[in-house]
Amino acid sequence: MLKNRTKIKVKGLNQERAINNLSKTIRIYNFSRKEHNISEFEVDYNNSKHIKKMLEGQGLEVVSLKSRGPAFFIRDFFKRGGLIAGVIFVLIFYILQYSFILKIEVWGGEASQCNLVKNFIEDNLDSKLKHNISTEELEILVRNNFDFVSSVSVAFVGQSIVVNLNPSLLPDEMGTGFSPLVSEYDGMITEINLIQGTLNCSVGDIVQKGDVLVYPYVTDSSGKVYEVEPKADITAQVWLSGQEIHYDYRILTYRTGKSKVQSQVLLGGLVIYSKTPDILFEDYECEVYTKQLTKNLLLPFKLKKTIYYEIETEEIIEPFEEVKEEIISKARQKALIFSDKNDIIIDEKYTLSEGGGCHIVDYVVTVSKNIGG
Amino acid sequence: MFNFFNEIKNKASGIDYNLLNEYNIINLSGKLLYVEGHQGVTIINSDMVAFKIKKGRVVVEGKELVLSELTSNTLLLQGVIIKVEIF
Repeated sequence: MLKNRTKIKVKGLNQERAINNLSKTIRIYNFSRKEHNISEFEVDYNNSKHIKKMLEGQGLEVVSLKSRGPAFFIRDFFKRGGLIAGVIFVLIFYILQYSFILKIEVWGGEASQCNLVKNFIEDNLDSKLKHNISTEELEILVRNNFDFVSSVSVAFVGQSIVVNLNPSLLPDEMGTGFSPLVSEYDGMITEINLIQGTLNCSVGDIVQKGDVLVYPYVTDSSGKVYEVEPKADITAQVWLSGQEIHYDYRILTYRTGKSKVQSQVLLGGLVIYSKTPDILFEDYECEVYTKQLTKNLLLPFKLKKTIYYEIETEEIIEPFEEVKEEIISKARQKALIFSDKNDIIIDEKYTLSEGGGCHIVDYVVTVSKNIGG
Repeated sequence: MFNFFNEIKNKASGIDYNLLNEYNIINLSGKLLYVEGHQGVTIINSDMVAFKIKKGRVVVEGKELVLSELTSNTLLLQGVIIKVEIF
């Protein structure tokens, strides 16, 4: 097939003699006898120039002489204008259509994410022509518009745009829905160590409980805002106060521990059942509890319990000077209720005020503590 | 009618008679080669003649090979027959 050969069709009698003579100098291929006096065979193209004369010299008539092979195929091809036009048309069509994008494939993310990105790219493609599409711009566009994409690569593969996504794995400190860091105490800020977030205070500021100390976001150099969990070590001087009031003369009422219970079953305010013990207490106070006995709305039974506690009253005369240290200590304890064990006490002081038969002790403890949570 | 090849085939034992009908080649003293059942001559040369048979190809090598007779399915080759190979 790859050799150039000439196919010869001869007509005449005593062809064997002619073929034998020919075969002494030339190799003959694919000899076939079509009829008694007609044969067909092939010779190498190089020998075809002389063969016609040789055959005619042997008394045979050369009916046809046709060359074939790769060289003749190419020669014949270029003689066929329609075929050339067809090939050129197909080539032009192929080159033109190859310049267009027919499909967008997105790989690497979840199906819903891929669909989102695919639709986004479809909406943002100005043209389907490859020359008018910048893969770099597409990469930036996708990265900027989808938070779940950490990196992206866009490439042309044939007539497709293939987008490879690398989903971003947000660290624990990043995410959404974080609340700002607020001050838990009133105080003056003495030291700030910001870990993450955007600071809203500075050293020396006096903040109140509830004031925002750190906002839950950071802004990068390009101006993009990322939500983060606000973290900071903010130390402040906090004033903890406690107050204790002492009366030199007072009447103390207390429960002795004895009690009696009265039970009643009510139906719409009507007492159905009642068990009332004898109340022999000289002084008492009572507490009343009521609860539904059933969930049947037609018959709303209620149980009403009244508990009578025996109380006694005592008259106490206690000069302030006798219990001063104890009262101050109580005021201090009240102030220190709000402190943590890690707090450093910087200063503590108290003030005394008197009037109307009572003494008021105001105790203030100044501590250094972390107010940023 | 007497047929030389059929007589020989009848003498063969253990071979299906119907399988021996593809081609026949007789080499007469290395000087004459008679072939029945060829399906076209592929190469003719003074020292080599090749032809197709059913399910194969036969190459005859020799010297001064001459095609004495050629029909659509028989051929007679004359010359010094050195080797007959079937592929």
